[in-house]
Amino acid sequence: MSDNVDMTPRIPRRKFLKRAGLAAAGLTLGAAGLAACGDPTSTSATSATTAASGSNAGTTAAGVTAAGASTTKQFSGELRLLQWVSFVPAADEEFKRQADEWGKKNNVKVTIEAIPGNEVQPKTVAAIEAKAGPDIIQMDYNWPWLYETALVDMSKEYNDLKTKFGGFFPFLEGNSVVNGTPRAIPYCVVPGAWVYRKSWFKEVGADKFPETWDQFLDVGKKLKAANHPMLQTMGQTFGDSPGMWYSFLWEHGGKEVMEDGKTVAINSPETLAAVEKAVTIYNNVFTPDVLAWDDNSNNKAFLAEQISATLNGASIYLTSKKQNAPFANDLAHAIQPAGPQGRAATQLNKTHAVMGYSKNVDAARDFVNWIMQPDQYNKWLEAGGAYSIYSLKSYDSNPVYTKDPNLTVFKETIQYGRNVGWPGPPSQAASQAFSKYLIVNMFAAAAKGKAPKDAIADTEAELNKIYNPNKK
Amino acid sequence: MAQAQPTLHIVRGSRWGYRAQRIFFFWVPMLFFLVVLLFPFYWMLITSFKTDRELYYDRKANPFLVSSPTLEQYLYLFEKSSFTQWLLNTVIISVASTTLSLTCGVLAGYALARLRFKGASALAIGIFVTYLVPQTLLFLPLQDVVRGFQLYDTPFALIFTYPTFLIPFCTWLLMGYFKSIPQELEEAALMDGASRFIAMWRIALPLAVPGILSAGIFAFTLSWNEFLYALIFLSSSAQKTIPVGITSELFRADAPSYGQIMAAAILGSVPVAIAYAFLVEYYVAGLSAGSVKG
Amino acid sequence: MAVQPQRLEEAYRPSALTRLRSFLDREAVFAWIILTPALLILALFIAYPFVLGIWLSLTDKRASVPGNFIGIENFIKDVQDTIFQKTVVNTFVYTAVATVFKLILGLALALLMNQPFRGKNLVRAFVLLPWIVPTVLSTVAWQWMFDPSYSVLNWTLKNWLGWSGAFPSWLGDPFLALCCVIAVNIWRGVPFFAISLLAGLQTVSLELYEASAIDGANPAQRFWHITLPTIRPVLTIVTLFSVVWTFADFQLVYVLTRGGPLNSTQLFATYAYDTALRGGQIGLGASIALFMFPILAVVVFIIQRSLRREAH
Repeated sequence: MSDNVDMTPRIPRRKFLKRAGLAAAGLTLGAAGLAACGDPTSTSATSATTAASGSNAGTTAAGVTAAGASTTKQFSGELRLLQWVSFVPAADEEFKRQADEWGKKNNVKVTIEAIPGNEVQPKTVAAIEAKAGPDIIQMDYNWPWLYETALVDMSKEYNDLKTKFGGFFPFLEGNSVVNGTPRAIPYCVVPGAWVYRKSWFKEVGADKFPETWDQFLDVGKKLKAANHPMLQTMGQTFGDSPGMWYSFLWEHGGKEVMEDGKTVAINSPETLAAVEKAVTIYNNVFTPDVLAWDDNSNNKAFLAEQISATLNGASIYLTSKKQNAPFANDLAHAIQPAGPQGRAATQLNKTHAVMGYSKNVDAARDFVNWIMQPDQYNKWLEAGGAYSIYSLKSYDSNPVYTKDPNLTVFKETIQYGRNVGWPGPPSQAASQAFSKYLIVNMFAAAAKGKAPKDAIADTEAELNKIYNPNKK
Repeated sequence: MAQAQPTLHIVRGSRWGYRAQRIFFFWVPMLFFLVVLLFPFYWMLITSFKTDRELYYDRKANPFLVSSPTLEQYLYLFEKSSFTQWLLNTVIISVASTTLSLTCGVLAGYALARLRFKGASALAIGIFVTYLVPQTLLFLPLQDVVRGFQLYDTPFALIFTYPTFLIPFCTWLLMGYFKSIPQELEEAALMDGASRFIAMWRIALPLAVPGILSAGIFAFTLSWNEFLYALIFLSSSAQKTIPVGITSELFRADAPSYGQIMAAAILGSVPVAIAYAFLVEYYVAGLSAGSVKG
Repeated sequence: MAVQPQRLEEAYRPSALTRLRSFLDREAVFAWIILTPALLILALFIAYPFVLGIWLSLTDKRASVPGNFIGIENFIKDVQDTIFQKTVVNTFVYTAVATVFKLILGLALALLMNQPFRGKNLVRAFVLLPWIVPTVLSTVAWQWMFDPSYSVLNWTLKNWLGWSGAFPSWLGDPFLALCCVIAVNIWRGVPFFAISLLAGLQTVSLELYEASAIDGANPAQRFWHITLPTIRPVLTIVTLFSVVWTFADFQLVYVLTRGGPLNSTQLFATYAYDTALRGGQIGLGASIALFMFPILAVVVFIIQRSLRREAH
């Protein structure tokens, strides 16, 4: 209804904002912040305010006044947001603080609920089925593809943010824009890098972290013999496991599907090489524990000084610093070793989706947009201590990424980010294959003794069921 | 229950031989059972009194003892988690679903045990069969039903679904109980002109109190312990029950948090343990009546 | 009593109210009235979901997408699915092994507790704890004991039993993980067997025992010929109940392994949960859960028959 009325003024405004965004790119982040505040983002904003604040945005103080007016929109009721328990408690606290701030300002009771990462998906499905539950869900990877019809169209906020803040990373676009419609606002990326104990590596004659998987194998053997193994999960868990094994597959030239997103391509000599290599690594570098590990296990094992290296977010480093662990200064980070095809990375990303069943959609949209604005977003990034990488490119200048030289590597990994299901386009099928952990299990099954060829053939059959459900 | 037990006079041989036999064939296996069955509880308890430092960093010390006991894990639960809320929810849900089930169960059990009507025996079998329908069989369609009644994420989602396994159980147990009460008293009351309801309410029910008690304890512990429905039909933190709250909100990501988890597990077990300690006789009677005598 | 005059009155002029009252007081009518609350709840929350479940399993319903009727396609998919095949094997192994051990150990414990000894009541109270305490909570304790980084079992192995080298990967090795899950199930179930069988043992006739002792029967013979036949009905029922519960188990596996590693501990219930709520394939998940039904139905039928035989 009001959407239709709104439609007419919205288009020219967006055009204007594009230009404003270009102008803002030359300005400092602070100025961009003003522009951001000056933008009336709510659907309830009248066209009059839109024109007024639009023309002033980013240039005069009137923009700020308009911002004051536009943030006291008529919201009420409650808002519930479901997210994972992040690995950096300080970031969760800042997020909650922001939620409170927004809630007070807008007269809405905001509740943030954090549950273990592996629980978020079942809870999401249960909520969608029940047509009730959290108003906003912080989703992983490309879940918006799985739950497309249950999510609110976020075009307006998405496009505004995109124009104002230098755009989203391409793989994030792929994950959130479903069949042409943005269904979620990418919040951040949680990249992985290898965290390792410098002294233990020195003991086996390695001055730095291996650059290739062959070197990884050599060093890994020695470390295992020295009882300081490098370990990485092969279990069914949301972050670390796909982060390792999709990347490993791609780095060896393997892929689950062709560019058309239909022809299953897992059964290839490249995949075979990758699986065989993984088996060798499992047998010579790892221990069987990795099959049962979830995302927390490597953090625990590392902090218990049982392992010398693991692929993880910055959380191990941050926690050991916070707890003043005796080995905190012995840690360093390194980028994932390269395979024959260079480097690739499945990046765990978080994206905020507003649920269609929500009774408070407008408030939810406003909140999701509000936390992306510089005043909030920069603070949240800083609280996370470089654990999370921004989703919008103009936040690159946040000082948190340059403050600690030990953490700069995480930002580098972004350039290798790929969508699940690469090189096919993002799709529901790719998401399904991901949710069933098919790629991870292919490696794990071979590690547990299944002939690599058979493990690949099984995976091929499963992938075919997903990508070509009607072909018998 | 507590009749004379068959005392086994195992071959008496010498006194010494008897002793040795008693040790090897009785005390050793008994001790083995006790240690294995009870160790996890000891471990929960001891973990809950340790500091995080002792749990995760002090790797040399004997883990079976506490070096510097602390209540910090318990304090955390009350100060920084919603544990109190979960406790309250669990109590409310357990009491409400038990009351509802017991009411239905007493009435149905009485009808099936005492009254003659067509289809009584078929109905009794039907109710017994539903007792054996596991929660895991129906949780997906039940989700749709819960949505239909708009009960999702409210305590009523559990208060109305728990009776699906509590009512059959209570009915079955109480049926057995009512059958064991002599009918003459009720018949006399009916002869005197009392209505059937009065006969049931004033005569049969007071006599069935022990059975009702044991069914009640059972139903209470079963709802206290339920996990799957609570996991699926509840969503917000403020609605969760203890088992779901512990598994979904106490596991931290950045560091292990077993101290708090064990403290919560202890506190979550205490109410059922107490309920049962006071009423152990009824419980055991119910256990054997409910499962065995039928 | 106040009832008497009222009855007299009734006899003279039956008003509509009293007629209604006497109608309600008819045996069958009264029976159905007091049965109504129970039947209503069971119909709404068991019978209806059951029908709905069958319908769901015949559709391709996904999260957020309405389903279409696809016949028995889901069931065919299940049978061809390698993980499902593994799930079937796991569930049967889990149920069979756990039940056999629960039976043997439970009987042993019951026999022990049937002896006279000091502190008997206390022991009986404590022994029941694993059965009483919420499964999820005790399982979390086991999870902590199996923790790859902080396992107390590993500590014991190393410091008291002289274990050197790599520790067993309790929940990491597929076979060992299945063993662990079974072990915890046995731990939890033994008390139920023991206490129920103890009740049965207490009905064993003392006279028979003494008579056979005089006749020179040894303890094994007495157990076999007197004890076992007496407690056999109890034994059968307890075992069958346990089979039903074990077969449909969910929470223990959910907490300890979530069906992993490599689906080696996946049971019907956990796989149905995973498929429906993680994978979002609601119809397919419903079909997996329904696969339990025929097997459970057989067990329930046997229970039903043996109960009846016992009654006659």
